[in-house]
This record gives sequence, structure tokens and C-alpha cells, in this order.
Amino acid sequence: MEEQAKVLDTAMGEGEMRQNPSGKIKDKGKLVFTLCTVGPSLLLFLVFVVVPVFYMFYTSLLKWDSIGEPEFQWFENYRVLFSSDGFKVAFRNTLFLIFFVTLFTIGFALFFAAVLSKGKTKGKTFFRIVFYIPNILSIVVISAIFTAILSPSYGVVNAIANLFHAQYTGWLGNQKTVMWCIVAAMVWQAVGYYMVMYIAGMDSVPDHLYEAADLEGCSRFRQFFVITLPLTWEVIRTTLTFFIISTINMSFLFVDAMTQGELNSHVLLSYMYEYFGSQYGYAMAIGTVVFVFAYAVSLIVQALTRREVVEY
Amino acid sequence: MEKVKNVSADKGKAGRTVAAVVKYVLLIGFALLIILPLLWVVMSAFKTTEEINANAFAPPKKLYWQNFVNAWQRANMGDYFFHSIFLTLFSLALLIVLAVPCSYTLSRFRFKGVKIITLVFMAGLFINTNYIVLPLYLMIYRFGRAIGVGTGLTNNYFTVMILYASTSLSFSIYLLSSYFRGLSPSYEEAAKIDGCGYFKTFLYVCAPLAMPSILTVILFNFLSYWNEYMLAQTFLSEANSTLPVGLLRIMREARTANDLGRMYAGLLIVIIPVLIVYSFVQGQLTKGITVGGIKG
Amino acid sequence: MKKKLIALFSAVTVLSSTGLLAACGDGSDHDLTIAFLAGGRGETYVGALVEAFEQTTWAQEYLTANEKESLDVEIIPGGGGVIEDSVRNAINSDNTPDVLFLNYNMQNSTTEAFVRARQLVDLTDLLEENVYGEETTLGDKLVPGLLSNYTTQPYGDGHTYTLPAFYSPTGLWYDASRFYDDGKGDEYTPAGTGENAGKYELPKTWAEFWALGDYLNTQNGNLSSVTGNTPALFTYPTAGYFDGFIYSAVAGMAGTDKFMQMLGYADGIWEDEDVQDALEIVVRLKDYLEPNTVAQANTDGFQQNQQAVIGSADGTTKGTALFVPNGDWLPGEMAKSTPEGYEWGFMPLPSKDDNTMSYVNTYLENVYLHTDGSNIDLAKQFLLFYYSDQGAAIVAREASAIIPTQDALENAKANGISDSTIDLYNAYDGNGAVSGSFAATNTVTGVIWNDVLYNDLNTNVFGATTGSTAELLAAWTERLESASDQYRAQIIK
Repeated sequence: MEEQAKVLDTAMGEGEMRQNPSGKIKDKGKLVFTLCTVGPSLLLFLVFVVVPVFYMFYTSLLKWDSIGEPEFQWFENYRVLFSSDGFKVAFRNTLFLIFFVTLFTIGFALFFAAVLSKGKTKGKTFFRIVFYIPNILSIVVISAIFTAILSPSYGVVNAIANLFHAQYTGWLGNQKTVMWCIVAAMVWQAVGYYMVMYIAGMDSVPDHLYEAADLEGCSRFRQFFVITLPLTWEVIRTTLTFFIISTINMSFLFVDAMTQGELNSHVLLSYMYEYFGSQYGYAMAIGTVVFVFAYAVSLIVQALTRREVVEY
Repeated sequence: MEKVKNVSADKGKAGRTVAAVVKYVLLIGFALLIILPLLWVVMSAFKTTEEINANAFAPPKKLYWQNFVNAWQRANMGDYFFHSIFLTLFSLALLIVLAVPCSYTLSRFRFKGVKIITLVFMAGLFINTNYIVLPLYLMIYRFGRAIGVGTGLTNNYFTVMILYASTSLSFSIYLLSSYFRGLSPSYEEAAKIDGCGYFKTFLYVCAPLAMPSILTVILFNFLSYWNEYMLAQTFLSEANSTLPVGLLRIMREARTANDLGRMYAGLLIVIIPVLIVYSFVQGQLTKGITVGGIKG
Repeated sequence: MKKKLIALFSAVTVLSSTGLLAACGDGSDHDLTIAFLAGGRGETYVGALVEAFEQTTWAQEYLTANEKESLDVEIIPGGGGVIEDSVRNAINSDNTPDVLFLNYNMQNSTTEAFVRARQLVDLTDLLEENVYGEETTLGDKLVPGLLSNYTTQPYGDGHTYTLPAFYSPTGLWYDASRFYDDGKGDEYTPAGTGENAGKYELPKTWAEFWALGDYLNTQNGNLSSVTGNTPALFTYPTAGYFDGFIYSAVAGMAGTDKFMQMLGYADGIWEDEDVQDALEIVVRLKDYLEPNTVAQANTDGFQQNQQAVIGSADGTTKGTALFVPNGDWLPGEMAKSTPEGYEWGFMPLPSKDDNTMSYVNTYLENVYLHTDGSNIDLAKQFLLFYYSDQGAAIVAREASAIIPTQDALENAKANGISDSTIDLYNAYDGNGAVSGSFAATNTVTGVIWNDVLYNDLNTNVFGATTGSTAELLAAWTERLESASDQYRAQIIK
């Protein structure tokens, strides 16, 4: 919690105008202005974002079919949930995606950012523009493209396999490969976005550090680890948190559009969606678990990645 | 000594060449991974279903425009298109009206509660529409029923706009605040001397200064609204639905009808406007935003 | 400045209140509201029925009594993924449909939810009334044997709440040109010789079915190398299509008594030796499966699996699988990619042995009335019209479907239903008929029965990467027993 508050604090910072150290708004005009500017946003946010979260907590304690009256039953939904095989599979898959999608996305994004920010690389702008394209496409579109490419009947992979007289029966239809297909689609989608974030961070590293390193005979490869990485660490850290949360959330649409959870490919949110139409209480118990889980993971990541901030 | 130095220089040179090759192979490889599938979709969109089934690589024998006609007409793409534009634009307007003044005040004023309010907004970064969509629907539907309008509130564009704007407040305020925070107080002091009140100062001095950040917020949210799925799917009826929701259904129908050409054409219809918009604003988007507490 | 801001806010508010932004629901003052699943049966038949119904003396009497010019009927159509939402929206806007053509086992279990909430109109008395324009009661008019099951009598108390709107046999489909039928008695030889060279003998019993499968597997050497010339024995569209397969298999292997016990979630029924034989058939198919099946057994790919029985759309190569389980809508669904001259074949599931009959699973689509409907009497009259010869003719014409009434088949023939469709119903000759839907229950938290019974087979059996047939069967049985126990406790009495 403390760590979280600190991150948020850094993010929001402190205003430079400290007009009223006492904290009370004495100026009437200022009071009106504050109410007019913050009020509507805060109200909408509370009603349409905060309240639903608490309503979700509450609903998770009910037995509630889509039609019919809800019954209060304390933690029964959670008891069933934690002993359910489907939930375990979904949880395992979510962890799998968090780990591998993050690893590959951040790895590729850092590499491309490093070669596209400083240093001489031809076609920098071109690569930046192209790499970003997947990020502007709807996930539905991306899933459709991947499903089509992977189809054992009319897909590209199948056509390539036929060229080599190899039999291809669909990577989406194999429990050993299906999650990797989801990983591929998610990495494909996200690399450009994070690359751009890192480029912005790396561009702000002063040139003289690299020049000094060059003089010392330090290779580009080493420069990346001793200069670039430490100096952009805070950016990476922040994106990491964002990234893990968005992986949890976005994996839902990828799974729903690519596999519909077949072959043990459910993730937490798609597992929740299975019960959306028929068992509100159970679905919301899953939702609550996802919420708490996302929050916990980001705290853990923040704690694990804590380093001294390098000043320059 | 001289000799040793040369060897190491050669070694370094060879190493650099290898590194450069690896670098370009990875860059070009990844670029192809992005471009080729898209080209493949373009190509397939002009083929008949028989051609697609026969050979995935062969170019179309002749451009089969009927796919687009089928996709557009059979699937109400025109309507969905209009709905998406309408929803996206109004939601963006609403978001800007809400988020810009709010982040200005939160980042530049000191008053009791500002920290806690900021913290509440930032906690929202962890809340995703995917899991509050059901409680939202139940709440709004029950309220609508209580005031006697049935699904008038749920199957309603205005509701969806408010929801779009509300759920993206956290991220937008987060971005905008980091800009306003770095703004020098001298602007406000100058405005004060000129006799501007708070509203004037904000509207005529600070908000225009924040234009680049506002634009970034608009761009990011444009994409997320344009591609939004869950809320539109849950709230809007089939006749009122948006492009991504319609698209998933269209694609399933096209596959069910064994009309792959129509499916690819449908995909292309959705991709192209986004690519056009992107070509105009790619500079703004790929410039990136600075996140985290780093100087810059 | 404040004024401008306020003006901006109010502009948005005005915009919304003018209704420009609102897509409002309507409170109902229709005479009738009819919701129906517009899937394989097309989208026009309800409209045509309503039009004809309006001309009936009953409707005319109603109009006179209510001083109306014409019937105001709202029709809510929708495909499989949509209709349940549409129905929910209609109910939410106080426009509850009077008549619903909806099935059990749909995605959101809407029908089951109505059953649980006791929101279906009791139609038992309606069975005693004459259908429109005839001197036959509805009960007598219906094909016998379709009413005493959990579908029509969800509470198992002898009261009828839903009626079978259409019926059709489900079974195995194949490419007729690849098979010959040499009658009974001879020893089974998978590959034909002489005039039947290049064809396969149609299997009648499970033993023959597996013999054919083993023959094909030997031909292929390796299942992943199937081609149009050396096909695999079996494919399925999605695991959801195993519902009818399992019902037929259980009835065939274990008899109708155990079949009925199964539908009532009887304790230990899945461990019963005969029922185990039926389940084993399903698990055993894993060894005879067309290799792309599992990858395509989902909403996006099921059609490709069905195509595997047809072959290429231009007729140049034959299908890579011989049999697919499906219903009478299959030829229509695949028409676009079926080559000219292709002839569908249909048979019930093979029988236990030569001396036992096969059981044809009858796919029943339901129609029922909702207790919150605005005009239940008129809705009942609509049902009596639906089951009249006049109604059956319209359904045959517009939906190419058969209403389960005594002479509907003749009636359908006269109204343009193809002979090949009529032939399907010959599958009932000499075979038993079953129709399956389980006893109505409350929901069981965290368990979806249809998933345990068949939807998850793709994952847990056919797509399983480890485990022998026996192990997979044991695991499935265990899941069934455990879920069965939970559901039994929730049966609505």
C-alpha cells in the first residue's frame, strides 16, 4: 500500500503552486472553480467506476441466476470457485500469459527502442510507424487475422506446411500450443506501443553519457546495460505495472475471439464470462478475485523491481 | 602493442558487423511479420471463397468487389460505422470537458482532500470495464426500471458515452496531470496580473498550453473507444451496436455462411479508416508519452 | 466563462433529452409479441403464420371484440447468439413475449431460467382443445410419444409446459456416393469389391463401425495423413453436437429405462455398465478422428469440420472424414460449398448388435407461452392455429420444417419439402426414438451441466494430450457423477 501510494505520488507529483499552505480554500472564486472542475468528474467516476466495484463485491456474495431473485449466501461462491478445476486452469493460464507475454513484449520493445532511439539505424521512422500499427487495430481484428492464419483448412501456416509436405492440424487445436498462439497474438499487438514508450524514455538520456562511454571503449551492447537500462528503469517499472494489468484484461478478448476457451485455454476473465449470462453471483466472485489479483500482482512487481533511482 | 590494438579493433569491427546484421534481421523480420498478414488480408478480400480455399498464397484472378458489397450490405456495416463514429466523437468531447479541467485543478491547486481525490482517481487505473460491466449493467438497468423506462437507460448511446468517459478518466487525468504539473506558475501569475479569474486563466492560458497533451489523450482514447467491445456489446442492442461488436458477429456469420471473402472484406472495411487516421497522426502517436517519475 | 461551461454541459444534456441519443424501449400495447430463434429455420415463417392467423375467425372475433382494425403483432427474431439478449431486453422493457420459439440448452439457458422461475404457462388443458378449423384435439394431433419427457414436462408432474414446434431426427451424415448397402446377414467387409469397388460398406452395428474405422486407420498408417482418398472415420462440428449422439448411444446401449434415469440424474447411472459402454463409444472416437477436427471445433471453425465430409467445394477432392453427427439443417447450411451432384446420406447411430434396434435422437425445438405475456388467450389460439394443417403447411413452405403432427409429413410433401428431407424421417422406421433434455433444476454454482456432459469433450477427451481411453473415460465418468449428484439435489419438484 505504501509502495503503491508512492508510485502514484510520483506519478501525480506535487503542484508547483502552493497558494494555501493551510489547505483550506478561502477564496470563494477558487472554491467555485474547484467544485466546477473536479466535481463532475469525481461524481461520474464515483458513480460509474467506484460504486460498481463495491456492487461487484456485494454481488459476489449472492446466489443469483439471471432470472429470479438473488439470495444472500456469504462466501459460498468463493468456496466453489477455489475448489473448481476450471478456475485453476484459468488462473494458471493467466499467470502463463502474464509471464511470457510480458517477457517477450518488454524484451522486444526494449531491443527495438534501443536500436531505434539512439545510434545510427536506417529507416528509423519507417520501423516506428510499422511497429505501431498492430496497436491501433481492434483486438477483434487481430484475433480474426491470427485465427485465419492458423486455420488448418485455409490458413497461411497450413499452406506453408503443404509446401513442405508436412501435416498441419492447427496450433489452436492442440493443448500444448494453443496458449503460445495467444502469446504470439498479444506480443504482436503490444510490442510497438511499449517500444514507443521506451523510445520516449531513452531519448531523454543525455548524449554525453554515451559519448563518454564510447571514449572509454565500452561496447554498444554494454552501454545498453550500464547506461540505458538503469536510466530508463523507472519508465520500465511503470509500464510493467500497466502492462501486467492490461495483459489480464486484454487476454479475455483474445481468448474469446480466438479459442472461446476451448482446450483449456480459458483465462480468468473469459472463465468469468462463461457464467455471465446465467450465474451473476459466481461470475462476480471471479471478477472480485481478478480485481484483487491484479492489484496484488502490481504491488508485488513494484516491490520486486524497486531500485535506487539513478540521477544524472 | 600496435599489433594487439589492431587485432582488437578488427575483432570489434567484425563484432559490430554481426551486431548490425542481427539488428537489421530482427527489425526487418518483425516489420514483415506485421506487414505480410495485413497484405494477406487485403489480397484475400479480393478473392472468391473458392480461390481462398484453393490456395492461400495465389493472388486474386480478378478483383472480386462483390465481397465488399456483401460485407457492407448484408451486415449493416454502414450503420455500425456511423454508430461508432458518433459514439467515439461524443465520448471524446465529454471526456475532454471532464478530464482537462479536473486534472488542471488536481495538479495545480492545494486544498484539503486533493491528495485523497487524486489517489481515488489513480486507483481507477486498476479497475477495468471487463469486470465492472455486469454490475454497471445491473445497476443502470435496475435504476431504469425503478424510474419506469425499462431498457431506455441501458440501450442508450448517452449512457454508453458517459461510461466511456468515466472509465477512461483515470488514465487521462494521469497523463494530463503530469503535463500540468510541469507548467511554470509564471503563466498564472501573469494572467492574474492581467485580471483574469480562475476560469479565464484556465481556459485562455493553461488549457491552450496543454494542447499537445490533450491531443495525446484524444488519440489514445480515440483508439480505445473505436475498438471498445465489452460495454457496447453488453449495453447496446443488435440494431444499435458498434463496429467491433458487429464485426465479431459478421465474421462468425461469414464463416458460418462459408463466405470467407466476405469475412476478409469486412476486416478490411474496419482496418482502413483506422489506418487512414493513423497515417495523419502517426507522428503524434509514435512520439510517445513519458510515463513514470522520470525527468524529461 | 462559467456560463460557457454550463452551456456546454447543458447542450449535451439537451441533446440526450431530445431523444436524439436515446434508443428507447417501448412499453407494450401489442396484441401479441412473438420471439423466435431465426437460425436454420429461416426468418420468414413467423411473419407468414401471423399473416394467416389474422384471417382466422378467432382473430377476427378478437378484433371485433376489441374494436380494432388489424392485429398488432411484434415479432422479435434473432440468431443463436442474439435472441436470448433480445428476449431479455424485451422482458426488461415490460414487453414480455407471449409466444417464444426457443430451445433448451442455449447459451444463457433462458428457457431453463423460465422453468426455474415458473414463468411458463401450463398448456395441459390446451391439449384437450381442437386445433383451428379441425375436429381433432391438439393432444391427438401431435405425434405420440413426444409429450412425456422432461422437455415438454419440465417438472415431471404430468403437466405440459412446452410443445414441440419442430422435430427432426439427428444422426450421422455421410457422402452417399462413398457407401453401399449390401443388406443384412453377410459378414461385414469395410471395402467393397466388384461393382462396389472403391466404396465402403455402410456399418449397421458398432462392431462394423469400428471395423471400418480400423480399416481406414490401417490405410492411413497415421491419422495425421488423411486425404480425400484415405479419409478418417469421424469428425464433429463442435463438441456441442454430441448431445444427440450421447442420448442415442445411451438409449441404444442401455435401453430406454436407463435413458430416462439418466435424464433424471439418477445416482450412479453413469457408472452403470451399459451406460459406460455408451460413453466408451464416444471416448473411443478419439482414435478415429479427422485430425483438424479439434482445432476447428468452435464457433469459428465448425463449418470447416462439416466441410470435411463433403470435400472440396468444386468436387475435385473427396472429404477427409466419413461421418459427422448433425441434424436435418446440415444440407441447407452447407449448400453454398457443396458441389453439384453431391448426395447426402443419413443414418441413425449404429446399433448395439444385429438384434437390437437403433435409437434415433429427435431434436425437438420448442414453443411455449410466458406467464407475463399480455394476451395469453390469443397466444393459445395462435398455438392451436400453428398445429392445424394450415399452420403446418405454412411452416413447411416457409421454414422447410416439419411440425410434429400426425399428417405433417404428407402435408409437407404437398408443400414443397424435398423427398430427401422426407426420407430422413424414414430413419424412424424400425428404430426407436428418444428425445433428451434433463430434469429442470436450479443452477448449481460453478457447474454448467452441458459443459460436463458434452461441451468440454473437445478439451477433456478429444483434445487431451495424455491418458488412455480407459483413463479418459474414468475421468469423464467421475465428472459426470459428481455434477450429477449436485444437479440431483437441485431438481425442481
